[in-house]
Amino acid sequence: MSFEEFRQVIADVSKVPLDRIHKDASFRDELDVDSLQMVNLIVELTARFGLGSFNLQSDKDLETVGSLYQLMTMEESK
Amino acid sequence: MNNFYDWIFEQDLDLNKEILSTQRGNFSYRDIQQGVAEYVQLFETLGDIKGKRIALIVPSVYDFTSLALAISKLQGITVPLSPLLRHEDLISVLDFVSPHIVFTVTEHNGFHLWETINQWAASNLKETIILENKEDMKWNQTIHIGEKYPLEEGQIQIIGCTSGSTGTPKGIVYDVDFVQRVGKGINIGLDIFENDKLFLLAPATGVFGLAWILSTMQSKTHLVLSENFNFPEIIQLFESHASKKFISTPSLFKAMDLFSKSLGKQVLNQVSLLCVFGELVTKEFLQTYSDFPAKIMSFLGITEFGTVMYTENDIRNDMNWTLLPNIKYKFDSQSEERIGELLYQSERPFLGYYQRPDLTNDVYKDGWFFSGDLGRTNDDGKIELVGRKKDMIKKGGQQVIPGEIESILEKHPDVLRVVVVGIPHPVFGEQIIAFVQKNRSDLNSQELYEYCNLRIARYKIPDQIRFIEEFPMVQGKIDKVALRKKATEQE
Repeated sequence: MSFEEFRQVIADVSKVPLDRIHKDASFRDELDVDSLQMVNLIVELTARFGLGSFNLQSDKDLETVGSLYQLMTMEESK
Repeated sequence: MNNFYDWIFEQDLDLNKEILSTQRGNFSYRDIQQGVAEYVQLFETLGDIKGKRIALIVPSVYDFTSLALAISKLQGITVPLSPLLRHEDLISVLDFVSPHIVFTVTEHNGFHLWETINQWAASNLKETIILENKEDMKWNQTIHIGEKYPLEEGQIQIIGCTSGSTGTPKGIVYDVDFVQRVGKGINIGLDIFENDKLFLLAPATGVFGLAWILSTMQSKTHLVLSENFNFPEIIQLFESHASKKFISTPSLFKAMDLFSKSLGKQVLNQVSLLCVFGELVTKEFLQTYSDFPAKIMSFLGITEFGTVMYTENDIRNDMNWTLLPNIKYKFDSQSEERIGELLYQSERPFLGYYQRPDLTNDVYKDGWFFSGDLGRTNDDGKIELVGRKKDMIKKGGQQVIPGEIESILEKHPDVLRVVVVGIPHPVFGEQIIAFVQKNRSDLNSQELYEYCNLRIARYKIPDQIRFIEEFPMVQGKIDKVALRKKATEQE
């Protein structure tokens, strides 16, 4: 999945305008995605990436759009 | 018992027993008593709170619980509000419930709750006291002077607010009896014994969370619950408590499973009983967890009425419901197939919707609560639920229940999930559209029509079967409004 497609999925699932979704955007502070919406987003993304799980090291992996993209694509390329 | 504090504390208790745990720590009865005493002291500085509505936007479960118990002890009314509310919905709830006192965290997820509440109170010229804190639990007070709001009378303990299906807030009035019913459901359905430890994954500081906290405290059952939906934190909390009974919605359980695997932890193996509730348990969920090595059961609760039924057997075998003691039921206007709307009655009456006797009279007649659920009794005397009355399709003078068609089609081995909706039809009045998610790519609608032909009456066979890759979702549920719109547009 390209980063552009990834942004689009976030926009569709979280109902955040596409132009606000950039690599360094914080889900919590900039996109106003609360923790339950975050869970919903991750469940949706893992389904679209076809992942049974992903290698979560810490909360930091879920902080920004870029870190989440890295986490998901790392698994996809395995 | 006319208040929650006496209900819990006027019994033999080991005050040192830990009864509540969250990310912030473990709390004994004594800790909570201490918290209540501090809040009682704080309220004494604010004057008599009897009959006053006190809104709580307090994510700390310990403070939320202590506040609710102190309010109940002093005969005030707790109005739990979600910290997720934002400007518009927060203002409309405040206008609706007119709280005398508001306890709120300053901000949540970057939204300044206090600022919005303060502006609201300043503009409506009524006497309102706002107490805010920055999560350090030191309360700063702002008093707005003005005309006094009237006080509540009677046995009201809690007002639960929902945003209402039309966007106009709706309040539901609860008393001690409601929480007792929830407690009875927990104790019987989950087969609780005294040193049990339950793990609850659900919003903790709403009416539902409060009812669970209070009723498990009363039955001396240790409740572990999360104050947020940060899964790495939740998994750590769960792991450190080794709870064997896990209670959540199916979707949150799936998320828990996904995150546990992602962290390389097999924490769910410790579960011996999984209770899923609050949303539809799908065939896909049951298939995914067909090998899950614990019993899976469910509760049926009604927002207005509390828990009414539970499943005795593992729901992977059957989904038949058993009524809780002291709940009576009957059916309203049963069809030829013995399907009718389920009506419930308990020893104490439903207190109604806040300041809306018209809405109360619609659902509560002669002591019976009209649930809107359609069901029937099977040959074993158990209750089967078949759908919602408001989803019922009226086609050519016949009543068609979407749930019935959905469950028939979902028995097809190549079908994953089905949602049936009705849309207008020039001749029949309404026609039946089945949206089908399939798990065999070459499955076609003809095959499904034939499948239905052998199993259900002709008039119930969907007029159209449409395959769909993903269902539109809203707040964790399938968005039937969007599906109806989609079906109508494709006409």
